[in-house]
Amino acid sequence: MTQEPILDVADLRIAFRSAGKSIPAVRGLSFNLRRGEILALVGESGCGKSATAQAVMRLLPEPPAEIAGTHALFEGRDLLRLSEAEMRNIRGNRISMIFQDPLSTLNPVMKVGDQIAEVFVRHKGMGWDAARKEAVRMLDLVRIPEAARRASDYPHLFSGGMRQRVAIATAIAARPSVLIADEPTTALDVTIQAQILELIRSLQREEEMAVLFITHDMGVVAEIADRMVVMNGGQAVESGTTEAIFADPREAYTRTLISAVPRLGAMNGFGQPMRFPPPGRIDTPPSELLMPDTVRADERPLIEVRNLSVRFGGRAGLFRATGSSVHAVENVSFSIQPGETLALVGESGCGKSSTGRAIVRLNEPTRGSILLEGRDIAGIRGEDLKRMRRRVQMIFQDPFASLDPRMSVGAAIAEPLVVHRLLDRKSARTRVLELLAQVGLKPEMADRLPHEFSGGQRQRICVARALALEPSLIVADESVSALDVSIKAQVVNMMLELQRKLGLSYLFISHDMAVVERVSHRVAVMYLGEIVEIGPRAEIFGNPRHPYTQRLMAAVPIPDPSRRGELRSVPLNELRSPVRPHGYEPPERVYHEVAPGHLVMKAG
Amino acid sequence: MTGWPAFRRRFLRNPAGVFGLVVIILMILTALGAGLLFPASPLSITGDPFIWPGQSPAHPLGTDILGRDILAGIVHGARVSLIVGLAATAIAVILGMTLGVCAGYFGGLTDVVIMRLVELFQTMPSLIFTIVVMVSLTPSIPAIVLAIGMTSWPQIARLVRAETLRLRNSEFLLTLKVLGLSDLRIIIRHLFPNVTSIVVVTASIIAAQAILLEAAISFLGLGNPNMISWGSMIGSGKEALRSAWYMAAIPGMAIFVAVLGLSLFGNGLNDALNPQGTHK
Repeated sequence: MTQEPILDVADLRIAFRSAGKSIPAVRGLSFNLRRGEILALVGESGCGKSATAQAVMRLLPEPPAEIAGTHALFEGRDLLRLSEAEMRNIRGNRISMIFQDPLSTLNPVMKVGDQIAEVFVRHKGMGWDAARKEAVRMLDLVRIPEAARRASDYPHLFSGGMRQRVAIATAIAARPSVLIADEPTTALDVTIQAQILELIRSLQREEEMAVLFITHDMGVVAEIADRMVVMNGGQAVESGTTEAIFADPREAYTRTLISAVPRLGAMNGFGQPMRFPPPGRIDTPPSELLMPDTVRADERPLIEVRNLSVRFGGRAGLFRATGSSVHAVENVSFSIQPGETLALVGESGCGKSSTGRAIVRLNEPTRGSILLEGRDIAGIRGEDLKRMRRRVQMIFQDPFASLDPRMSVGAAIAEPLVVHRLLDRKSARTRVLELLAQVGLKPEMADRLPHEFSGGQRQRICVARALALEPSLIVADESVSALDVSIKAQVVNMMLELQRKLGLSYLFISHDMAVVERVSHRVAVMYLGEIVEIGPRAEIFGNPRHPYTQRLMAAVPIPDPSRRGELRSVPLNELRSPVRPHGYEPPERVYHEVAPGHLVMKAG
Repeated sequence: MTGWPAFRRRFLRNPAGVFGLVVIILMILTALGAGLLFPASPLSITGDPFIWPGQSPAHPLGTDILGRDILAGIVHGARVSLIVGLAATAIAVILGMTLGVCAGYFGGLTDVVIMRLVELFQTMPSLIFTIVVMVSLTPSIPAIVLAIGMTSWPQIARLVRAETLRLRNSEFLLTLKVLGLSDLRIIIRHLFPNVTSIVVVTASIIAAQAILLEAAISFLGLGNPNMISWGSMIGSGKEALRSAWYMAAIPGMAIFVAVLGLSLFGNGLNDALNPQGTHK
């Protein structure tokens, strides 16, 4: 490993022109990437890290983008000043890029083998036959099982993780000396993320590439990067080796970022949920952050789900034969006490969202009962359903998609109050201001439109609106997953605070184990539509029994570069599919109580 | 950046769209002022027949076979074109939005029934359908409006249905359901405003099509014989096409400018409403 920089970026400036004004995105960023190293560009959304990568690749349309800077030297040539024709010979050949969304980076109507072969034809002047052979070798290199056979499959037959492997194979096919990876694992499940990170590391070593790794996730940085540049507001605030920065972050911003990363196991020995330390005060003692006991264990359960099943499709229609159906949720049972948070964890497709949606009656349960304060709400309609809505509310993942873009925030929060005839317009207005204050927003914000708010603020608005009806249970479906770490911490703190003040119960649906550890009293792990393990949070995290739970825990990145050696070699297997032939009945499951309240499904 | 001022700025930057808007405004002014400019009936004979444009200061655009003033015909004909264009579009928009939203939002059997109806109307040649309606009803403006409206709504219904399907699974609609809003309220307060922008663009194209269809009907002599329209002017002008082509060409130009204006206006609206789409 030499110290010679292969990509040297000096004083890069990027601005976007909009309505006659020039809005700066990157203001004088300098860094260099050395041969054979992984350099992480870390920062929260809007810090300019992706714009930097796209500017180096000259992928930003100019206008509206305006790129200036001293230089971006790559192999002696200045990328900022090359012609488009010269750039085409560099892109995909000398510098390659992989993107966040593996579902949209591949051409859906072209065989994956041909997509890789195209690189050899274009950049290496090979014939198609030879190129296809090389493509199979590349698929093999990124560890796709049965590469020769799968080369002639189309992308839709691959899972997200496998597609990201194909995208990586395409990117490194021409043996580039630099690979730019823009959030390559953000859209993936943790176990898949661990596999892809391991793949990038080993390929980087085998092929002696330099990797510019762009991410918002400090845990991933600790896992993969040799050096890192922390960005904020379009500038580098701190740079150095990953070990040094994690051991001794100099800048307050870096410290906040690192401390905001939830660490698995940080909660050992604490029985109750715990707030994140406030920004700038990361040394706050745990005793100040620990929440009081909010669970009213002696009362009747707020909600009891018994043998819930949700299945989709499979009904025969005029033009549809009876075939298979998706068993999204299969025989799930749990209960939530007043003031309690139950976390439902698992990877995409495990049925956790379908369970949440069945409880708020967005999905019709196929079987089973849902008792809300002792009354079955599984089949109710009309006025009964409307009354139930006041008790159970839901918050979704995407704060940008869950508000009507054309309605002012105040009107959006007031709407449920008016619809349920709880208050007249005037008192509704007063209540809106109260609710805004409750979620930490200013009253004068009521008249603004959603697009004037940031993601975190919008999520607060969604919480305020859900609270308008004074519900007892809030189903939070990945509600903080799309937020930046520091914002995530604030929203989680707010939710915990509301639980303490209002005695709310949460069904907290998430794939993020570390956040789950913070907020939950009890945890249920779902796999392929079934609960494989359920119990008190300390039990599940301290003593995971089911192999799937153990695998899930092992895959969570640790924000500590010194523990990188513990690279958990997660076995390469895909989440099996919950699609079953029509009429399929799942086997009778037996649960085994390993500790009080801690149930584990027996293998079989 | 959104909101009315930004929208206006984006629209005014597009010369073609502004041209379309000017044409539409001129057409509206002409139609409103027709009675003041030419108080006499445009069907009355006011001079010698076959006066070419520019020959007589009393008839700047000349006269037709019977000696009727062509300028008066153009000005009064703007009324018919405008009424038919607007009224037929209004019918198409109301029918199309209601049925399209219902199909997309409720899905299932509602969707199947509405979409079969859409296909029925879309596969029927609209000119022939309009002719059949005109022949079976008394030829009048309401009849032609109804006929054109009935054949134009499926375009809007399809568009609105597609957009509703996209919105139906969005988190904002799911949230509204969970909040306990009734279907009617969700449709009226939330779905309609969110599909309006795409409908406005299509509506201007439909208005242009309606003007063309009305001209075709009048050209064939199926319109109201007591109302002058650009189409009927071309129809009567065709008799003298070899000797006095201007009789058909002048109303033809009027139709061309009106339709072009509406189409350019529609494109301009589209670009201003979807600013991302234009710069890519």
